[in-house]
Amino acid sequence: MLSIKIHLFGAFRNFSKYFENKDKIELQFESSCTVAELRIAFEKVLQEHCPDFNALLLKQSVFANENNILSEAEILEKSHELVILPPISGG
Amino acid sequence: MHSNIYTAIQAPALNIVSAYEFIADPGHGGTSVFQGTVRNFNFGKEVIGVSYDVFEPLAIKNFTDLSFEAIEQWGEHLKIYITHASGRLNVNDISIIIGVSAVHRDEAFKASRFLIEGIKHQSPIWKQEHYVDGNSEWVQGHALCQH
Repeated sequence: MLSIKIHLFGAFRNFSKYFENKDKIELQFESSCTVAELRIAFEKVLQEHCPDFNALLLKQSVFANENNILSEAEILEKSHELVILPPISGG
Repeated sequence: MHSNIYTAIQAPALNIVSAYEFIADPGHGGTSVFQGTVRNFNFGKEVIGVSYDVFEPLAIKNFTDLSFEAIEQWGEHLKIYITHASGRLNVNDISIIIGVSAVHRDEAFKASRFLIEGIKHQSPIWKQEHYVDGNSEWVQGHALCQH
């Protein structure tokens, strides 16, 4: 079983109230998955639990680890903690 | 880490004196220090404060990568100081400090502009504005790109 924990940042933090105020969401897969497949599963969870979820926000966002933004084709074979990065507004 | 580069994410209040101290160099004739501050309005709404959310590991990596790019472009001698605030800030508080010193002013100005534009478009940092009516909103920003 593959477990991917996705940490919520920026506008995604608004959804933590639907997950017992946790700032990360855990998804499980039977085996390896691509980032594109992770995106589909993550969107499904958000649509099921968050009435104010807007799919455009996820479409404009990327997945990353502590070092890099991940490509959609990247294969996740081990359990990971990743982050979801919505459009940025720092500075 | 290059000894001429300092990068950090810090809780308020940011200290601009620290930037001048880090980039001071007797061989440098040009110093540019940019500070961003919290504005009291945005798109017609009265803003009373902001909160910054930061994915720190990737933000620091991005600050460092941008600093190395600046050094590659404008010279090994550059001294660079970058700090960005994390957490709640009030109007007039400093959100970011970018200090660059160089032998001549041209490199200092250009590197400073390069760094703030790079951070605006690449660093994983988010701003939530707090309004006088009690509401708060995440500011629409720039989408990050996959490489």
